[in-house]
Amino acid sequence: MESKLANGLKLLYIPKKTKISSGLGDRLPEAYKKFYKEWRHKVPEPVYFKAKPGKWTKDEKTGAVIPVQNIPIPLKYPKTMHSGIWGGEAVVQGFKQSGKYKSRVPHFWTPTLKKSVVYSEILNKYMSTTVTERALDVINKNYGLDHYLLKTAACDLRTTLSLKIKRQILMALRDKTLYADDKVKQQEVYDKYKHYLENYTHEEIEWYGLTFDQALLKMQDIDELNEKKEPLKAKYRLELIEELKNSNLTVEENKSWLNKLNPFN
Amino acid sequence: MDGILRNFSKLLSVQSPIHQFNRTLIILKRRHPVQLQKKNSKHKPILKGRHFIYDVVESPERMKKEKIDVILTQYVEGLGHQGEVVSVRPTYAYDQLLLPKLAIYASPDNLEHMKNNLYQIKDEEKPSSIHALQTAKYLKKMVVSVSMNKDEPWTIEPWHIRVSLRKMNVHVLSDDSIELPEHPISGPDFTLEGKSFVVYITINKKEKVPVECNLHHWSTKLADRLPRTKFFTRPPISILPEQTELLMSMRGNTNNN
Repeated sequence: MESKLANGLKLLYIPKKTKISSGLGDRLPEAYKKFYKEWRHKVPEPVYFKAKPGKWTKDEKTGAVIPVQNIPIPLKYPKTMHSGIWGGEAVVQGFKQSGKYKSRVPHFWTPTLKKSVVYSEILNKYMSTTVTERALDVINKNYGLDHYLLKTAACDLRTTLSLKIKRQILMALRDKTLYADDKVKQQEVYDKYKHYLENYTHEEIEWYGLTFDQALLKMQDIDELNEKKEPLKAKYRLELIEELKNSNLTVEENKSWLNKLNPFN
Repeated sequence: MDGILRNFSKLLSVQSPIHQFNRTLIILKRRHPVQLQKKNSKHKPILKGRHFIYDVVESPERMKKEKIDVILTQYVEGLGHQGEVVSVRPTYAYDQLLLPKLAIYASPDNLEHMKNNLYQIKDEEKPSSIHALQTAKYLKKMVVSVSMNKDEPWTIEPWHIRVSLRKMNVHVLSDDSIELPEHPISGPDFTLEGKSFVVYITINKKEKVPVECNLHHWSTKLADRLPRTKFFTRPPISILPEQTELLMSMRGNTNNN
């Protein structure tokens, strides 16, 4: 009985509408949808709080066993973050309260930004960007920018700039366009990073790291290429010629008596 | 959102204003815990206003950062030889060593490479110590004042130079490491007053550095002393004609630096 009820409830469940499941976004390829889910729907690693380990805890006062639920602190993602590498940091909006009977005061916890340079070994490029202290820390911990970007999921990178760099790195690895003039160095660097390519197919890399709007534009371009647009004029002309060829009709002469009259005789 | 950022935080503040609050990454905690949510629920957790009151538990970025290990790919003055593993503060390592490619990360792969002596060089090619080249640079910039007696006759010997250097807080341990010019300089001779000559000092029996010395006549009687001059800023006049070019080139280098 209960199982049947549960089945019935399943039928009632309608998945929530998202950008990639409704409208134009629904037509995007699976490869992009996979990336989009990794970027926007996956829950990022905790940055501003320490997650409690384990499944159950005991209440300190009563000793009652209660499940552990790590509810993440909601983060705000400002537009300016997309021009830098923030390493998972964002803005926290909340309140401060100095005492139990004091009124709570609104407060924003924002990261400290600084201008610095990052270096990518695969692209062999120095890039001047805005970074946070945590971003540099994580780059150091992962032994370099390339390892950090390739290891980390899109939801933790978050910013479009870091995703763009990751996309270029992946494309360079896939097409082997790195160090085009130095074959020995190319092979050395490629061997170092090639194990990251196992996680992606050729098409997934093609669609990786694009924003939603960029993906739509890309899809539009592909559609235009596929359907060759020819003017209808040409089509109709061909049709008419075909029709005329097939028809056995000869043009009948006008047998009216007026034709016999020649005024210039 | 951007407006809020502009008003509430001093983002990208290059110059530090008077009220600089060094707010960095922090660990927060809710003052009022959220009630238990439904198991496996697909809805967002229900959060009330009180759940947005946060307490700062700790701010790890304010603490002193732990040192990280790097492998030097090149000799770095005052730090280490090529192929050496050194542990330095992360900011210094990133800005000064890793970005200009003076060093690489001490990752397991790189350490494995290092075991195969990829980054090692022979002892003969190394500088004698990590501070040797720094010391050489320091000595090259110096102009040592050698004070000699105005009344008694003398000829310049290595110990004169040693004592003059000691007055400038450079302690030469042995007279053997001081090499005087071949032509002896003797006095008292007032034509030599304020003129320069070059001696060579050998660091750790390896690096040979030319040092400029300026001759000065000094008397024990207060009334007989010559006036003080800024000999270290004047263009040098050589006592020995063969050293003129060397002296000029040494001063030229220091001026450029």
